[in-house]
Amino acid sequence: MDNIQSYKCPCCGAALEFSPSLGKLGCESCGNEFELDVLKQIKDAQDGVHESNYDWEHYEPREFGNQETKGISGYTCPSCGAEITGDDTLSATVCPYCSNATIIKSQFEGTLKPDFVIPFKKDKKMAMEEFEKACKKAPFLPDEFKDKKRISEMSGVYVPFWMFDCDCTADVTYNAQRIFRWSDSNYDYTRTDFFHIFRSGNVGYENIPVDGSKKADDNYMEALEPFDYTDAKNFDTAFLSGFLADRYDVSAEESIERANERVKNSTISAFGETVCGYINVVPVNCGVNFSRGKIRYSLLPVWMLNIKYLDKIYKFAINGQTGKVVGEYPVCKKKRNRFFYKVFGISLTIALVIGWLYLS
Amino acid sequence: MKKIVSRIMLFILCSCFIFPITSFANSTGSEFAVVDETDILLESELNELNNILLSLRKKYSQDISVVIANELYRETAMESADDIFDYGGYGYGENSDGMLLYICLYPREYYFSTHGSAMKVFNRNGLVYLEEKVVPYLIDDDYYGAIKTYADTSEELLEMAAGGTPYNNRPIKDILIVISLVILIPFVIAFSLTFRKLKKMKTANKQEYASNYIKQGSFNITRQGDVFLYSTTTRTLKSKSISGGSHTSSSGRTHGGRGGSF
Repeated sequence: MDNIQSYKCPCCGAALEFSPSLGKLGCESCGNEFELDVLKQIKDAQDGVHESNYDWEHYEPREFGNQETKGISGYTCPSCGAEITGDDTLSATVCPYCSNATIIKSQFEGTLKPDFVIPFKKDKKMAMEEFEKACKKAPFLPDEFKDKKRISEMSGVYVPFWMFDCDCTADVTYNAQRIFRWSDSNYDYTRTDFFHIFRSGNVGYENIPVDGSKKADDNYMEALEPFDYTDAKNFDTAFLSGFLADRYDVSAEESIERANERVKNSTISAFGETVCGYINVVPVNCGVNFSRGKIRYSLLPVWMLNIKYLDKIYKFAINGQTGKVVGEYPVCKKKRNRFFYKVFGISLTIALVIGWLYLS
Repeated sequence: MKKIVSRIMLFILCSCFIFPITSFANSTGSEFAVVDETDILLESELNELNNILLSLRKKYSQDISVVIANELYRETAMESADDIFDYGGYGYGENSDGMLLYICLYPREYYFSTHGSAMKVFNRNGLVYLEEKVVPYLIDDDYYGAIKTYADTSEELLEMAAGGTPYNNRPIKDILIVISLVILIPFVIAFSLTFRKLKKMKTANKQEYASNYIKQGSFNITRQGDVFLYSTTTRTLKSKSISGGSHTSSSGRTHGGRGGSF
C-alpha cells in the first residue's frame, strides 16, 4: 500500500487537511485553502532544490624551471613582512603595501609559476592621471591632499589571484508579492497576493577572481574588478620587468569559500532577474551544483599607492589594465559641513516660504 | 410636529427641481432652523434648538440651520448639504447668508455648508474649530448635544465676526506639524545628499556578485513556475475630515464648507 502523502501549509507550516465540501486542502491554523495541484507544484519545486555541491578540481601548483628564474630576485619588507618578486635590475623601491622604503633584496625562492598574467596597459604616468581624475570626483577631498609630491611613490604590482571557472545547474525558489490598491468613498483597500516561485536552469562562470594575497586588501582587489581576460597571456618572466610581483599566501583551497559565495549570490541574482512583475522577491532556497570546477593561478596588474596625510596612510589601488581607481579618501570636515549647511540653508529657506504661505 | 417637519422636508426636496433658486431670494430663511427627518430628537429638544438657532438668525442676520437625514440625497454629504441649502430656501437676506449642518445617519457623515458672508465668518479655520467641538458629540450619538454645541460655537464665531475679526486661528496641531516638517524635511534632504557624496569618498567596496563573469550564452532556464498561494486584503478608513473649500454647487452658487464621517 502506498504511503499517504501529507502536505504542510506553505504560509504557516501547519498540517493541511482535505475538505471534501470545498475539494481543497485547508489550514486550520491560518485559514488559507489550497488546490491540490498548487501544493504538488510547490512540493515538486522544493524537492528539486538539492543541497549545494561545489566540486572544484584540485589545483596542482607549477614550479618555475631553472632557466625561467634567471634575472629574478626576491624582496622582503622588514616592516610588513611582504615577500615580493621583481627583476634583478629593480632599483631601490618602496613596499607597495606599507610604503616602507627599505625593502631587502633576497634570493628568489618558493614562488610558484602562474598560469597566466594580464600585462600592465597603464604606465605610471597614465595611472597617475587616472588617480588625479578620480581625486577631482571626490567631493570632500582636502586641497592639500592633491599635492603631486605626495603621490610620487606609486608601485606597479602583479597581485596573485585565483581564478575559478564552473558550469552550474541551479534550483532557486523565491517568495514574492503583488500589491493592488484601490479605494471607495469610505475606505482605502490593499490586496497582497503571495506567490511561491521556482526557477531551475544552468549558468556558467569564467574567471571569477579571488585575491590570493593576504597583504592586498580583499575589498580593494574586488572593487578593482572587472579585468578584461581577452588580454591574458601565458606567464613569462619578461612581464615582470620594471614591476613587482607578489606571491600568493592564501591557498586555492582557502579561496574556494569566497568563490562559492560569489557563485551562489550571482546565481540567485541571475535567476531572480527572470522573476518579473513582483515586489519583495526574497530568495528562500538555492541549490547550486557543479563538478570539476577549474582553478587557475594568475597575476593581475595593480598600481599601489599609499599617501600619508595627517599621520594616517591612505591606500589606493589602480587597475593596471582599465585605470579604475579605488580607495578611501580623507574627508575634509570643513568642506563636508559647509556642503551640509549650504543644502540645509537653501532647503530651509524654501520650506519656510512654503510653510509661511500654507499657514497664512 | 415631527411629521409636519418631515413633510416640509419632503416638499423641499421635491421642489428642488421645480422651483428656480430665485424663488427663495430675499427670504429670511426657513421657519424651521432644525429639520429632523429621523425623529431622533425629542420634540422638546427640537423646539429648544429651533428657538436657539432662530434667535441667532435674528441677532446676527445669518441663517444657522441643521438638517438630520436618514440617507444622502445626493452622492456625497457635500452635494446633499449644498442642494438642500440652495433649493430649500435657506440663507438670510439678499445674499442668502448662512450655514447648514447636514447630518446623515446612513452613512454616518456630516457636512457644514456655508454661503454668502457666512463663508468669511465660518472660514476654513473656523470650521475646523467648529468641527472639533461638534463631532465628538456625533460620534457618541448625542445629537442634541451636537446641535446645542453647534449653536453655541456658531454664536461664539458670529460674535467674533461681529466685532470685526472673524476667528481665523490655525489649529495648534496644524502649526506644530508644519513647524516640524519645515525643520525636518531640509535636515533629511541635507543629510541624504551629504551621505551620498560621502559614499563617493570610499570606493573600495566588496563585490557580492560575479555577474560580470557569467559565460556568454550559458544562462538558460529549464524549469520555472509562479504558484499563487493566497491573498490578504486590508482596508483603512479614509481621513475623516473633508475640506470642501470654496466650490460650486449644482445650482451654480459658490459655497464653502467642511465635512467628514463620524
